[in-house]
Amino acid sequence: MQRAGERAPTRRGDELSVRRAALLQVNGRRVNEAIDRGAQDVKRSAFVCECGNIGCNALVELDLTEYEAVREDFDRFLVIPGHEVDGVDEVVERRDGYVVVAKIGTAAAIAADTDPRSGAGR
Amino acid sequence: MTHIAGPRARAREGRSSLLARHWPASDASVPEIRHAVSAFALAHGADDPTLYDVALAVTEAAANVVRHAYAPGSVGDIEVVAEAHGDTLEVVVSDGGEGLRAGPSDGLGVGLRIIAVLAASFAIRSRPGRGTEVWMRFLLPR
Repeated sequence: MQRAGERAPTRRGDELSVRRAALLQVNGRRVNEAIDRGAQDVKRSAFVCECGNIGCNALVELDLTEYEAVREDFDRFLVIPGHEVDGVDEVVERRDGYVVVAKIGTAAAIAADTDPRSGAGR
Repeated sequence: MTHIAGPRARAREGRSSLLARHWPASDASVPEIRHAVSAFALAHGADDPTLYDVALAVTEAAANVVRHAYAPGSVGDIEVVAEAHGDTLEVVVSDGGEGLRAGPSDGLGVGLRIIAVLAASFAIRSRPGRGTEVWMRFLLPR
C-alpha cells in the first residue's frame, strides 16, 4: 500500500533511473578508457568500477589484457561484485575481484551510442 | 615523470606557449593552481564556457593529488604544465605519489568522472609508487 508522501514507482520513473544508471556507467567507461590510453609501460592498472551507483569510487586492479577483453564488446562493463544494477545489468562473467556485466534494454542502446571505440563517444 | 604529451618539447621549439610550475600538495595550492591555469587559458583565448570547464577540471585534478596521491604524513608536489597551441589547450597535472590503487578511493573516482565530462579528451598515466599524471585537452574557440 502506498503511504502518504510516498510516490509510487512509475514506468517513466523507472526509465529515468535506468538512463541515469546507464549514463553513470558510460562515464566510468570514459575514465577507464583514459586510464587505458595512459597505460603505456605497465601490464596492470587500477580501473574504476563502472557501476551505475551514485557515489561509487571503488577501484579494481586488472591486467590490461583483461581490460581489453571487457572492451571487445560495446555493451560489456566491469563492476565490483554486488554493484550490478537490476534492470540495467546482466552478469555474464565472474572474475577475481570484479564481474563483467552486459547492458540490457535502454542501457544497451546508450552504451552503443556512446561507445568510444566506435567513434561515437567523446 | 615523462609526460604523456610533449608540451615542453613543443614550447622549446617555439610552437606553443607554456605554463609550468610546481606547488606543494596542500589544500592551499588548489585555488592557486586554478587561478594560474585559468589566467593562462584566458590569455590564450578561452571563452567563459571553456574557462569554466578548464577551471573545474584542473581543480578536480589538483584536489585528487592533495587528497590521494601521497601517503598520510608524507609531503610531495603537484606539477602543472599548461600549453596552448593553435585551438588547443593541454593541461597536465602530475604528482610523484603512489599511483592509482585498487580498493575504495574515498572520492578519487568522482573527480576523474567530472574531468571525463569536461575535457575534450584526457588520459591518465599511473605507475605504482611513481605517481599519476592526468593529461587533459580542451578546445579553444577560434
